[in-house]
Amino acid sequence: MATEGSGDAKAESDLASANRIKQVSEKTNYALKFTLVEHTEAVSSVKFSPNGEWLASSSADKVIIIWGAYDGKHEKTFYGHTLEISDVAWSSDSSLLVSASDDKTLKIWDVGSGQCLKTLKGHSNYVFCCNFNPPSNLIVSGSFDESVKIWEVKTGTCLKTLSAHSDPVSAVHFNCKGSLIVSGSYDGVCRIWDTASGQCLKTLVDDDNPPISFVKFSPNGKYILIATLDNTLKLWDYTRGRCLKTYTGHKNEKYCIFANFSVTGGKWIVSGSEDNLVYIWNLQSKEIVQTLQGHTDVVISAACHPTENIIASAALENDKTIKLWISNY
Amino acid sequence: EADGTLDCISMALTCTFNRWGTLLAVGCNDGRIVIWDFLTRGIAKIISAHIHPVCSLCWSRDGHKLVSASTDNIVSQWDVLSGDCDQRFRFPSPILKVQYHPRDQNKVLVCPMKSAPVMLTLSDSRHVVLPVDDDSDLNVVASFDRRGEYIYTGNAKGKILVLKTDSQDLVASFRVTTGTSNTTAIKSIEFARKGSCFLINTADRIIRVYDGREILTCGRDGEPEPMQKLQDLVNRTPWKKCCFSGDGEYIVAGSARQHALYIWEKSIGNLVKILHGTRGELLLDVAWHPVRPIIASISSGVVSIWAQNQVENWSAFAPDFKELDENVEYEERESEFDIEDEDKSEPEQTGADAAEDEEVDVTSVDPIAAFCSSDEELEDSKALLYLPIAPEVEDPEENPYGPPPDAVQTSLMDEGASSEKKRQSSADGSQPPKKKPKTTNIELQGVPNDEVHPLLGVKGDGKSKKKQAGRPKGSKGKEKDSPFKPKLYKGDRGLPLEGSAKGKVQAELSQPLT
Repeated sequence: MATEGSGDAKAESDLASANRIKQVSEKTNYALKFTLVEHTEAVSSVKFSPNGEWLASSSADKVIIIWGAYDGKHEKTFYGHTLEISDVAWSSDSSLLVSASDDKTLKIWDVGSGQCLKTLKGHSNYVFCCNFNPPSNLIVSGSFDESVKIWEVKTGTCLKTLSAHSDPVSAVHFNCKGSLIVSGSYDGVCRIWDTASGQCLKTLVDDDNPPISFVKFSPNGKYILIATLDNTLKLWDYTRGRCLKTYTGHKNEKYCIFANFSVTGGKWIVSGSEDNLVYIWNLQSKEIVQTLQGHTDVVISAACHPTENIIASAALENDKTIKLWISNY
Repeated sequence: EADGTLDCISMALTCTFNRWGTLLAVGCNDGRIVIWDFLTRGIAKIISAHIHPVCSLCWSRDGHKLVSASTDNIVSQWDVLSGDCDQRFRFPSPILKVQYHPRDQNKVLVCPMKSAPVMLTLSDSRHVVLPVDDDSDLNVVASFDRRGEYIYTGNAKGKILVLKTDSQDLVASFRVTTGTSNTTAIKSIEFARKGSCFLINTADRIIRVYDGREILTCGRDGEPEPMQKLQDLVNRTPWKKCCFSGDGEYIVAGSARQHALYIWEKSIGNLVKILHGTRGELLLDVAWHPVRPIIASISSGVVSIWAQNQVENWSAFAPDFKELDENVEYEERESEFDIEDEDKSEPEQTGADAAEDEEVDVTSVDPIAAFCSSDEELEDSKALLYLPIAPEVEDPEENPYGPPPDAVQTSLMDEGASSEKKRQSSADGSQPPKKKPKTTNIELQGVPNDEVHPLLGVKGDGKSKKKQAGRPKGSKGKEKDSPFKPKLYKGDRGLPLEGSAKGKVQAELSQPLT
């Protein structure tokens, strides 16, 4: 008798939870939890560490700051760059950071000690974007000198230089296996490269080619999210060369604003915007489900936590703060 | 085409790729196993495995373990991540080959000289001697088939036996004959990574390619015909080592006389290419990358990498670029200079809209077809593809803007804890006194114990059997020197000193009391 009763109760609760799951996927309810104030100039990029413990932020004030991801506590500051920093990225084991700076170098930092382990020299103009590959033995960087460089982490040497574009490279990203690199540039062209050989595999161009401000692979490496300076975000299937989804409603005509896939709860697309809001779209239906208000300047970067429903957003020099938002869905 | 070399510092003797081709393990003359990260072409790890030259290596299927054999008759299993020796087996005679069971890394096939092949079970350190055809001829080589269901053995009289792995029952056999029914010795048996084909390298300088399925249908004392017979008729080249390409479509054979690699297409049997290395060098080993058209060859202690010349695919740079082989006369269209193309039909509207409503799945990952076998479903998520890399630190960098370095150092201990967790755990593993690896002596009947491995020119002596040194202690010492050691490594060094000091103090104390 007892087993039957508990069996029924279990079936009921399963049904209830299934209903609840169906309900929550429709909307998010992100609310501001923390505002992190420390940077003295515009913040350029925020990224969560893969282990979910930390948030790294880079800024025009030439430093990188590590914050606790859950409490927003200032943990560490990294000094060393001589000019503004445009991007920062984590290694897969959350022990290394790489930063890209206007001083034409990239620096690899050890998170534990705060020391700069290596300086990667080679670009001839501002280094704008950087990323580790999943095994974290390579770093890819894009620069205003129109090239993409692949560096070896261990020795800090440049393994390959790809003559990628005819305008500044605005974003570079590895796919989840590390076998492909996607690069986007102001020349309106998005190219996909083979990591091992450095060969160009494919070029994605839309009908008119507005400057591309950001590119990123989806978590499974099958799709590419491309942001262009005509207020549009597009999700492309690069194997078929077709644009599958288009997200609009935000403002993006001037700055290279980071966009992200949020897959911890429901499936969303998150992006900053030049109207000081953070936009969240439903990935499938393309509807805007929420906008987050609070910043007083262009929201240049929005990052999604790897396991929890947390978004970190950062804004330019009128604001200089990073905000942490938490949702239930 | 030659694509460069990997400089090992010590002389390389044998090499083997892991299952995905991401790491290349090289066994060296000084007993070290050097693991190369193939993506960066840099050294990922060095294991000070043996004191004597490493003559055979094999990766486990999940990439976590390596089994190695050295010329002093020892077979060891190593954990790649930690560099520790898991187990050791001492054989009475030199080992020609070690091979993991392709699907079960608890079983290792060992081919000792002048002995029947032995299958080891690692978990209980037991061994099984495989049956041979002719007890008087114990020059036997063996190999697992692609899935490990069968073991193929071959002896000096050309007889091939096919045994079921689990029961060692004989399921098929045949004899390789050459010319006018003369027998020829089997030098090696190699299986392809895909498909059921295998090749036999025999002393008559012919490489015979068979289909494993045909062998099984022929049964015992069958007479299967080889699919291909490959040889160099011009120079009558003897072959040192042969292997298949990753997809099984090509066969590469290294000449035993000079530094040259011959590549044939398996299905047609035609010679596709001859790769020439430095003159005067002798080839020791050849390995084909599991998925890419890359070959690694060892000669004179140096690993050479051969790859296809990369031709830039210019069509990829713009969607409407088309590469032309020759000049093409351009024909102008009627509407070439029209501002609006009147001839073009209305673009399809409905197709685009339908695509926009499709469900897009951005999270589920598809396994890579090249790495999946037809009888397995999922990729091994716990497999070891890459080794953790730490940047080499030569000089500490100047921090003109930052706080003084001393302040930063102290924070290493408390704050660094969570982000260094991964590194700490590997350091902790080596702090408690290292477990001595289990050593098992394998006794084999009727095997002479004064044989010398063919790699060594000089006859060995009994001394090599008694030597105990040079394994886990050696690898620990290595970690102190190498740049990738985890930072917190103090514990074990401090212990012995404390212990002895304490003892001394106590002894002194006890005296005045009396």
